[in-house]
Amino acid sequence: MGRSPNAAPLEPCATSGRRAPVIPNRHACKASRGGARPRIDPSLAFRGSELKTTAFLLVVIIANALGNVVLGHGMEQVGSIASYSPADLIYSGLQAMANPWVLGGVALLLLFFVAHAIVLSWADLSYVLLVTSIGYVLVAVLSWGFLGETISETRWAGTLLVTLGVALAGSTPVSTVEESKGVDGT
Amino acid sequence: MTVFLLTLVIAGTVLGDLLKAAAMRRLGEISQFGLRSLLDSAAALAQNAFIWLSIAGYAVSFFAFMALLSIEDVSFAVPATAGAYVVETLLAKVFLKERISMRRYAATILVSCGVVLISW
Repeated sequence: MGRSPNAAPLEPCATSGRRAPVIPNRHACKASRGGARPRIDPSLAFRGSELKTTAFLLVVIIANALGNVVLGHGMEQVGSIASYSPADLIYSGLQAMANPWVLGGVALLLLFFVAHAIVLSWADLSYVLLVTSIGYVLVAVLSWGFLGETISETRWAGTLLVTLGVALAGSTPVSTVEESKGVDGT
Repeated sequence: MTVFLLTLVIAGTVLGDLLKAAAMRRLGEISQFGLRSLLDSAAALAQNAFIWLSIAGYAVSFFAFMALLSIEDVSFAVPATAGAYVVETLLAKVFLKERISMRRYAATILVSCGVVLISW
């Protein structure tokens, strides 16, 4: 996913009356005024693309599920937290960081946080929230397949419902914001 | 106490997500993924109070969840937080002006019911 660092910076296509840092996304670009199609820089083809959204959502989902499992495994090794006083919590926290599983889990969750932030820079929160809930299914299936946990019928039913919900959410547009705002006050 | 902690867990997560989304939207779509560009974006993001409030929300949620787990079972705590899906979708409509189609509402209901069943 290496991008040429000296690609031309994004040229906001609708500059009227908006706050400066708001960079209109592909919807706004397509609906430029005056009929003149904006020149599309080929180096920006990755921008707002389906591929980019899918790639980042996969990182979000996998890093979150894996991070929680790895961190959970590490915390089990470290042992239960004896006291919840702030000083003890900090001490236990530092002690836990010495465990490689805990450290790996934290690193994965950090990756999750960053990838989640990046995808939210163009995608709807309500879209990301629903689609990433497939992580629940992933954890259930992984714990069944790899850890040999038995999954109750209720749990399989839940897995099915979440999968259906994710499929339904995945069929909605990634971003709806520019459309609902209307471009240039239309 | 349970209700109070549960409220903190949900409110913290929902506010964290909403403020994060608002901060990222203000930053604009990220399309350059070189290390240098990402660091520049991070520096710009750090100027936005929303991202810090968002992290504070997640922190409140995290500690409230830990405290909740110390008085309730996981099998209660996790399904109970599934309510966050509905609340967050509605708030995304109100504050982030996202357009929630019937499909997305239906998906929200399916997912939140599914999460309750999975973690039951």
